[in-house]
Order: sequence, then structure tokens, then C-alpha cells
Amino acid sequence: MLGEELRKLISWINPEVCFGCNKCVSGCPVAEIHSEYRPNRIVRLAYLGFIDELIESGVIWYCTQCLKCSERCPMEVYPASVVVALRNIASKRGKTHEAWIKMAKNIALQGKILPEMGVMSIDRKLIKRKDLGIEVPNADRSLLIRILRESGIPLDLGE
Amino acid sequence: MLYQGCMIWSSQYQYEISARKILDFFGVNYKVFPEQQCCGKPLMCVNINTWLTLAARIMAIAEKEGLDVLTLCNGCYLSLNEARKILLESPEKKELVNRILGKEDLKFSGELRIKHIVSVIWEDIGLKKISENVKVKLSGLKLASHYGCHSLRPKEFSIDSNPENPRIIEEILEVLGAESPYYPEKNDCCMILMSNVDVKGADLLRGKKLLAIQRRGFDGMVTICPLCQQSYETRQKRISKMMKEKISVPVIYLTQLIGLALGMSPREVGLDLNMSPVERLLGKIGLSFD
Repeated sequence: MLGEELRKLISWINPEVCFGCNKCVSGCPVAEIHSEYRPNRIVRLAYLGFIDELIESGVIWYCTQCLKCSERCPMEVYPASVVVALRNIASKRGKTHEAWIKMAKNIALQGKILPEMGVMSIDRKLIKRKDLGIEVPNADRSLLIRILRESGIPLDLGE
Repeated sequence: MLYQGCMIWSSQYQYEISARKILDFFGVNYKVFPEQQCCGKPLMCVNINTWLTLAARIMAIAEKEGLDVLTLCNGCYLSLNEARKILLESPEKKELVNRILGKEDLKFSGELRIKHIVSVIWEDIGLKKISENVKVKLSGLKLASHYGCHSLRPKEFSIDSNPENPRIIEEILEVLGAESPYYPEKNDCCMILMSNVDVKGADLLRGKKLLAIQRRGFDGMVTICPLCQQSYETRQKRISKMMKEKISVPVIYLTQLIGLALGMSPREVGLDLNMSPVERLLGKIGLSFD
């Protein structure tokens, strides 16, 4: 049985039925280069209650969410969704990976995960949206911070 | 509603420019709303409810105008579709997001469709109309299709009826006069999310795909997602150095190729903003930047 925390997030998943066919592992691009990353092992460890260990190891942040494991699992265990749930739990405990903290802060600040970088054209000019005559997004900062806060994001957004 | 998303707001302008040119050409109407923000997907891994609220806000703005949402990015496409499904299935979550959105007089009901630009090209414009308007045949080009992950998986939101071996990009390219044979690395992922944690590992896997495309004699790679495009296009020099092997593959959006075939100039479809050796590809079909 799933622990209370996990069950709240992924009530539709029953990890117990995994019989170790390894289809999730064979399709996983992360597993191809990281021997410690195995979708079915993460699911099994989560199911057995090793949540703290999984969070501390940092391994849950490797998943690239290509969703091959979830699509190919014959038992509908959805490893990629288990990883998302574990990342939510890690975040509640103040253990969000720094890259995601940065994206959240950028969304709060300017509505998008990164600033407008522009691009160097073939004529060696730095081009931005205004040079091309296309709309520049102008999301309201105080509104975004309110949405992030009211939806319960467990991060200090530094406002 | 044409929804661009973060990558296109930040630097992948050529995708938006070329997509808009095609929509204008075929008379598909769209509106742009600059008050939009990120689709929320990156924050799904921090707090699911934050993702759902941001996604619902985009859909609520479209609903208020009676519009569907047209996405260019695979990430946004899945984000909005998945969020819509979860919100429609969970009255509790729907109530939560509407309580937050209600303060700016917005309401998510879910009465709209979220469509990928490739589906609009495939279903709404159609191969017949495209083939009738091809002015410059892309004959002699052999192109490697790259769908990306979130346009195909989960299968309930796949833009192709066969997500394990999709063919719609190939069929569009064939109508334009190019060939696009199957290759075994076709479904390999661009690794954009893992690059947040391990750039070298991500580059290694990108390099494997680019090298395979090069060795199999393709003239270029065709994408439909700004995350994939950026992953394969801007990292080639670093990947070459790391793998000690010269990698030089033109990477181009499907919408740019359609534009060229319709008779638009390379600059009109934003090819001057690509970061890979696209001149080589243009040369093969008798086009250049001047």
C-alpha cells in the first residue's frame, strides 16, 4: 500500500502490480546513461516507503518526463507520474531542485521560465521580438505572485 | 488563440513567424494575447495545483473570447490538454483554480479544444490544399522527422494515430517534395528536462541522435517543438567537442519548410534566425539568403 502522502497525489496508481518486466527500463533514456536510475526501482522504493531516501539521493530529479515508461508499462503503473509525485513531496519538504526554484522565480517575476534572450541573426545582429514586430508578453507580476501563492507553491519567491 | 509559450517568447521566434505566415496564407484566423504567462508545466514538478492554475488561466482567457487554443510547443500542448482533463475529472481541483481565477473575473469550464499546429495543418488545412499551393518543390531533400515526446505520449493526446511509429510529418514532407524515411533513432528524446540536472548526459544523448542522422545521410532534421529545436540546434559545437566528432546537422521547423515550399523566402520564414547550417539545406533546393 502507498503511504498517505503519495496516495493523495497518485491515488489511481497501484504500484504493487509491477512484476519487473523491465520495459520501463529498456525504453528509458536516463537509464541509458545513469545506472542508478531505474523507473521500476524508484516505484518499488516509493511503494516500500523509502521516500526520504529517494529525496535525499537526488535521483528523482533525473527523469526527463519523456513518458515512455508510463506508456509502455503493461500494468499501468505510470513511473513518470510517481516521479512527479515524489518531486511534489520533496518540494513540500523544502528540497526542490535549484533549477525548478529558478524557473518558479522567473515565472513570478516575468511570467515565463526564462527572460527574453534574443537571437543572433545570420547578419550578426541581436534580434528580439520587438525588432520583428511581434507582441511582447506583458503578464502582471503581482497577479502571478498571487496565483503562485494561492495555489500553494511551497517556495519563497523572494518578493 | 495562438499560444506561444516560454521558449518562443524567449528566443525561438522563427517558429512563431513561420507558423503565422502559414496560418495567414491559408486564412486560418487567430488572436494573440500578450497578457498570457507560462503554461505552468515546469511547476508540475513543484506543486501540481500551481501548474493546474496557470494552465487553467490560459484556457479561461481563450474561453472568455470563445476561442480554442492553438499551441506550437509540444510541452504547452500536453500541459493544457492534461490539465483540462484533470480539472474536468476533479470538481475539487476545478473549484480551487476557479476560486483563484475568479478574482480577475476569469472562469475555466473546459469547453474548448487544445490543438497542436501540426494537427491544424493536418486536419484543418489538409494535404490537398497544401499540395495545390506548392510552388517550390523540396525535391532531393532527405529529412529526418523528430516529433518530440509530448506530441505523441500519452497516446490519448497523440497528434498521430500511431504514436510508436508516427507518419504525419513524413506525409506532409512528401507532399512538399522531400523524402523522409524511417530511422531507428526517430523517437529518441531531446532530454531538455534532464539537462537541468545533467547537461553533459543530455548532450551525449543528443549527440547520439544527431550523429546517427548525419551518418544515415539525411540533409537535416525537422522539428515541431521549440524545446527540441533548441536542444538539437544550439548545442552542436559543444557536442562535437565532447564527442570528438564533427557534428553539423541543419535543424529546421516543419512550418519553415512548408513556408519555403509555398514560395516564401528564407528570411520570411525566419531562417536567418536558425543557429544550425541551414544554408546547406537551402542550397540543395536552389535557394539562398540574398
